[in-house]
Amino acid sequence: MNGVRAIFERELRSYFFSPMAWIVLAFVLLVNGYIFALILSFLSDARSPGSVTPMRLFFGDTFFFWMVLIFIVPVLTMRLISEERKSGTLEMLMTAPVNETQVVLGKYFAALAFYIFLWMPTGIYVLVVAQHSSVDWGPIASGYLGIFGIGSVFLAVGLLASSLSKNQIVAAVITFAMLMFFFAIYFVDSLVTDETLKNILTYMNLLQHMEDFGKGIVDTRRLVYYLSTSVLFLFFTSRALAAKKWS
Amino acid sequence: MSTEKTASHRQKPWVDGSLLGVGVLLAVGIFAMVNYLSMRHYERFDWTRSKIYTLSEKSLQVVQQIDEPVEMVLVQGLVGEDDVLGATEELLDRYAAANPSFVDKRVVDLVRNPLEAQRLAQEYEISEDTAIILVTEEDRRFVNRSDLAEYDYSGMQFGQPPTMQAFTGEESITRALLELMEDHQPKVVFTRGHGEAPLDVGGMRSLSAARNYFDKENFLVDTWTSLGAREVPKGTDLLVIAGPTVGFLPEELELFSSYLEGGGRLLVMLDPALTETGLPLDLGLEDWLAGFGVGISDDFIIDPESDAAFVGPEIIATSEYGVHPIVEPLAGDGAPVMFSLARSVQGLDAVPEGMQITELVRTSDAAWGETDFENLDAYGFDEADVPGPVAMGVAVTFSGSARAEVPGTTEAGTTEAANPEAVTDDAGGALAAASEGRLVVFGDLDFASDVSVSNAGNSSLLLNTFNWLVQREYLISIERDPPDQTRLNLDGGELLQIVLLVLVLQPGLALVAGFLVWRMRRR
Repeated sequence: MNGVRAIFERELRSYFFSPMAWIVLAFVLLVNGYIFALILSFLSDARSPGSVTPMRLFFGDTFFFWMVLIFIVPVLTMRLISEERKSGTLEMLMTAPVNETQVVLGKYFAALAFYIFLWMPTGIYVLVVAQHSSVDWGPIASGYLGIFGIGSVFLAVGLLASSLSKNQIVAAVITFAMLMFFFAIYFVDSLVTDETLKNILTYMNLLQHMEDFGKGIVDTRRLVYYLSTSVLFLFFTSRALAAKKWS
Repeated sequence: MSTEKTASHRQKPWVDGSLLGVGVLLAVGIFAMVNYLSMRHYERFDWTRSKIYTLSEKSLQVVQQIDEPVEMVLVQGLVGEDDVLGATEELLDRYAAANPSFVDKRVVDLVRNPLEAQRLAQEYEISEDTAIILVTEEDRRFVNRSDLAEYDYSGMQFGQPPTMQAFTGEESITRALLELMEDHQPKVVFTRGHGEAPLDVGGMRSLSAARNYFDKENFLVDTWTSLGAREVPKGTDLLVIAGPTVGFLPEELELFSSYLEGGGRLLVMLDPALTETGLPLDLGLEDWLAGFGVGISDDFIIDPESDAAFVGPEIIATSEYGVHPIVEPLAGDGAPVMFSLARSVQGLDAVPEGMQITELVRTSDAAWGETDFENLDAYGFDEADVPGPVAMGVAVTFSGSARAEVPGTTEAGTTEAANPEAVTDDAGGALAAASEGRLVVFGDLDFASDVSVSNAGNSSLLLNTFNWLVQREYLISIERDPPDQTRLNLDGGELLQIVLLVLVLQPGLALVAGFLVWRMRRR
């Protein structure tokens, strides 16, 4: 655990002392702010349905929400392993008294912590809504739980992609392509008619998941899926690192 | 030696690669197994305050009673139904999650699965309006699209499409499930011919809104004119006397007595009734009900400490309940009921043997039953009045020999029934009924009327009473409040402030922080 913590602290420090990370934060806040402003102006219209809350619309009900996720995850993860491989520091890291798993976990948790940090300022939106209307805190909590869960999967995917290439851009592109696969599930789910396949695709359909989380529905299937998928991709990443060590 | 080292060195990647492959396959296998188990065994939690994504207690009770396979087939594919369809599919997920052992959901797309759609059409003779088919091995029920939502059509004259006002899917599906599961649809008969509250016409005394509740609970509602009749209609599970303003004849009371003797159930709702001269009207029921140990006073209740704000003391809001299944959910939730211009109904001290009387709902201690109808302008408690706390409803259960003494069938003071054969062991018949007799009397009709039935816990009290009387205790619950509505009223200035905060200030601060970090690194 000491190894994991040391790597976690190192990576987290490098995030906060990187100008790129703050640009990413500014981008995230700009896009989310735009979404939120749009939602507020829509709901201030007397013709809008009173049963839809601002935060429910904010959590996954717009294209911009997913755009934020798809773009920031590759940026957060692309340098995690590929930069170290390119600069040669990965070999040195692997000779230190840490194994591949500890390296992967330390980097993963650092990325996850920074990802959470990126979403924290959106808490102000909740306070703004609370000033002007009643707030049901349950769906707010579940909405953020959904963001955390989906983020944990995406970051694990990004970390794997980063371990597959020495080039950060290539790693980012691989991450982007793999994330698009998750979105493709949404479209294929609506086209498929075979019952078994449809059940599987619906189970994996992240857009449907986020819609439920935004409403306030927390389903254990989603949580198990996120945890198991993250663990699977992290396992692949540690095996990829180990394979590189042998070669 | 060096050859051996080279050989083992060449073998190592193969061995490592094989191990890696096995490890990956094992990991994928475990991943698939874990998620397969998760798909089959899961829980859904509703974190909303008003639990709008949770089935109501009633729906939950209905679906959890299901003990044979039920398939819910959602038929989709028509244009312009996305909003209702999405809500319906989510709703069906809730039913399936509530009883995963027996309830299953399937979606058939008419456009993408024409073969399956054709098979459904042939087997179940579905119509274009059919949205959901509920299927068991022996039976089926349909829920139509028109049952799933209430629409506002006022914009159609301007070329606008109808807008959905309320989603009513849960009520419709639960009702269909009830019909599917129940062998028998309880028949409720309302008496007629004594100025009783109408069922079909709206108005202050009308029960038309309550009738909608009865329909949703799968009650079959009918009416019956008791005057001149020979018996209560066959198959009547519950007889209701709702707010009479004209008295009953002894012959009619005999019919009621015979009906109760035969295991019937009766609900009586009595408002204070006055003659043209303003004096209490004798409906003929008071003495008859006294034979059940039920005392009905010629009064109207005043409660200066009623919980209802901004109304007079003759409108009583109370959450004081007795211990009885009918009011147990209301008491548990602390939900009040509202009675308007009610009369006191309480258990008498002398209760006939074999009868059990329970007070259902009471006023506060400060209330009383005002008996002075001649001075309504200036009322106050005096010795002639009924002291509080005053009961406004009672439930009576009776069994065995108690039925033989049902009043109205004999001369006063005797114990012979109108039909002596029915009460002896030799005759069998009436005494053979195993279930207990049940009677509920309320000193108010208004709580069930169109004006008040949707107020507070009134609908719950009414439906729980019905369900208890016909022995459908598993349906006794509390009606859920409508979901919270959220509306924002931001003016231009407030919106501008928020836009500046979220679009300028927050991202700006992040950029400034990034700039400072860059400067720091340069040094």
